[in-house]
Amino acid sequence: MNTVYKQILNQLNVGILVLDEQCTLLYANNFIRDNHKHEPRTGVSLFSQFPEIPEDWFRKRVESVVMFHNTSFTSWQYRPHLLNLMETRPITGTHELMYQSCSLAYLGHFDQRHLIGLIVQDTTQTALSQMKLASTLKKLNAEHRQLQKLNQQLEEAQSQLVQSEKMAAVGQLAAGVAHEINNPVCFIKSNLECLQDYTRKLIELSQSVEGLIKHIDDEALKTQFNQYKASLDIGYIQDELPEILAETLDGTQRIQDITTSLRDFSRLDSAEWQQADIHQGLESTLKIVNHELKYSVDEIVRDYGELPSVLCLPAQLNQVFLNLLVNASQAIDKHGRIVIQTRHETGSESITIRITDNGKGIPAEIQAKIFDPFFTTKDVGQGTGLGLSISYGIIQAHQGNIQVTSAPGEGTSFLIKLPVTPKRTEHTVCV
Amino acid sequence: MTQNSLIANEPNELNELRQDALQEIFNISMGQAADSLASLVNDRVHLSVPQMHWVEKSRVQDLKAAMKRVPKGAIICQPFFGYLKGEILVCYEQGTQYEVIGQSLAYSRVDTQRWQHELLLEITNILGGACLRGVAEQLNIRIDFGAPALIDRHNDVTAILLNPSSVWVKALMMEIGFSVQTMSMTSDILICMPEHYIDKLFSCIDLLLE
Amino acid sequence: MMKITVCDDSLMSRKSVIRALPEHWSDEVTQCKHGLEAMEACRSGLADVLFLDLTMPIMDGLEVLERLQKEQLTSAVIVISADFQPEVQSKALSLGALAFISKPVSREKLTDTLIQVGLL
Repeated sequence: MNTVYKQILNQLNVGILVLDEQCTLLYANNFIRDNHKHEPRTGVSLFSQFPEIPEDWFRKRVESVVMFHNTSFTSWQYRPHLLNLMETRPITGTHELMYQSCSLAYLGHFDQRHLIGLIVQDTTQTALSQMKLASTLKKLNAEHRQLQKLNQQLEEAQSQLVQSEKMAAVGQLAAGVAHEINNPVCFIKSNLECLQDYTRKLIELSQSVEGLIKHIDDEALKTQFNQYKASLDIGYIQDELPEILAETLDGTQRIQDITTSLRDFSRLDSAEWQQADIHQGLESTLKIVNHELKYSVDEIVRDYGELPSVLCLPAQLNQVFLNLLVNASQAIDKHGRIVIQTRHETGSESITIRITDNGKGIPAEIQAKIFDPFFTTKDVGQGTGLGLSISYGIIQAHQGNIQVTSAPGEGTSFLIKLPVTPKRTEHTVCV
Repeated sequence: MTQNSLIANEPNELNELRQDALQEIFNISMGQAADSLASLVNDRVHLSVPQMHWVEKSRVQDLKAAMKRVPKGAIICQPFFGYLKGEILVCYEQGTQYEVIGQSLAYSRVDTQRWQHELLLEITNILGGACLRGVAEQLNIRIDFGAPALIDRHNDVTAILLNPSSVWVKALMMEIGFSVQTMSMTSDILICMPEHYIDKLFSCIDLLLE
Repeated sequence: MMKITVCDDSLMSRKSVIRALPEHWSDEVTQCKHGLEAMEACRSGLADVLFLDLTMPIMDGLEVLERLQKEQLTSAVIVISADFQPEVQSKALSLGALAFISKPVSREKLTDTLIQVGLL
């Protein structure tokens, strides 16, 4: 029967070592003998035959197993190769050493000594497939994260697109209305100029008639004329009429200015890159937001430097200026001051535009978020949270950058840096 | 004795006599465990008096309230089987100084997480073996252990017990606090035995009480 | 014949101690569930020998030892405890316990100890 047990032990696909509490190797089955680099000898220290086993650590485990009569375990995850056993597949295998999960079991007390069994299971296949799974999972997770990021970018782009389209539609409408208004205003203006001329002539005539009448001796006629003149209040009309006409002309001129600004701002002709004057863009934007600014802002300081014309999408840059100016005015309670500074260093490839307000400032903890889409500090319904994110996108599309510095209570400053001639790529923003 | 007797929160069969015996058996077993562990790690080891809880899965929140401590940390489980069957759950709180306990178990590298986890598995194995060995001896039964496994890196034990896909419904749980004086190491041991094996446990105790 | 008191909060433990006592050694065994009862037994002369557990509610074993010394009661005390780490043992012995037995008790263990301390 003993031979049968031995046969079974040797047929097992599991490694078995038997040792005593001093770690003297007493037995090793065929699985160990066949797969270890060196065939172990029995009757000597385990560590002389398997120098790869960390001796102190292993002895401590043997001690605890003998003490508690229990089993101690190692797992391939933490200790893949307790013994230097070779992989069982020398041809198709991909690893030199076998992955092992082992258990160290108390066998009992025989012939005055405690016996311990080390049972070694080959977990190479499990280990390899698990490691493959883990790395696939890691890759998948990374891809997933990338997709999420892409998705977010897509959403951002989409909202920018929607906003741009909205702005374009409003711009188109404004430009259309401006054009329609401009035509009648034009003929009103020219008619008024005509009227001014005619009036001047009529007044001239009336004055000369008055002069002629003075030299006539017919007192009755004179009195009748003067009475008639007084009853019609002609003297007053003569004084007032040119003023009224001048004022009306001035009003008409202002209507014309506004319609021109509206047209300039939306620049329907500017869906293409063109050389543009940044100052002109700033001015037409200021006209548009004048209404918004005039209640809170006392002073707008134009600290303009010499700027070259910049290759850009002017309508889009105007939108950025608009966003920054509106934000500035909303940050200001009253007695505000907005400074617009433009600079171009000689020889530099880029220009800077700085818009600074003395409003309430942006707390440090949210400064990093202000360019995020849908980030807003305004109440629901007051702002979409898209303004700055769109501005950011537009400046990016111009290959420039936009930065914010802010001190709560002191104010906020946005600095835009734009290349004079951006390199043309597919980086155009749809309008 | 009838099968399926745990109808109320506390089973009818858990009379005072058996409860007293069970408590005492665990007390004695913890004393022995503490002594062996102390000689293994060369330090004073403290094992608290085991707290007995009867737990239904639907009322794990009650267990949470009844437990002396509900620590959060790495959770390791180890199955045991033989005449009785169950699981040991050990929770290791973060902030444990692994160096000292590691050294006393001849671990030279405990700085990396992989080594720390292996160390925790081994400590669990020793604790489980130590705590239940005395129980097995006193009841004169055989208890063997499966390999311990890390099941959660950071959680509390009751969260693990609440796992909706686990199969247990009612169980006896012994809560034991474990600490090693100079190693600033504390952990909480929960020895859990499902309802099904309680009758077997009682028949062993009854033999002892005869 | 000896008067014996067994003090332990666990009924099973008390029973196992009583079961392990040598035959025909004592004629009267008093059982106590905590230290206060044990003190009473000692004062009433019911404890020539006191088998004393350490971890108990109301009054623990170490306090019983202290009080016995204070009140100069002469009961011979043998501690039987589940906690038997060296510090606890030396504490109990320094407080006047004659011997220390680790749980679980067996007849052999108990007999050996009684012989050792000269009670048998």
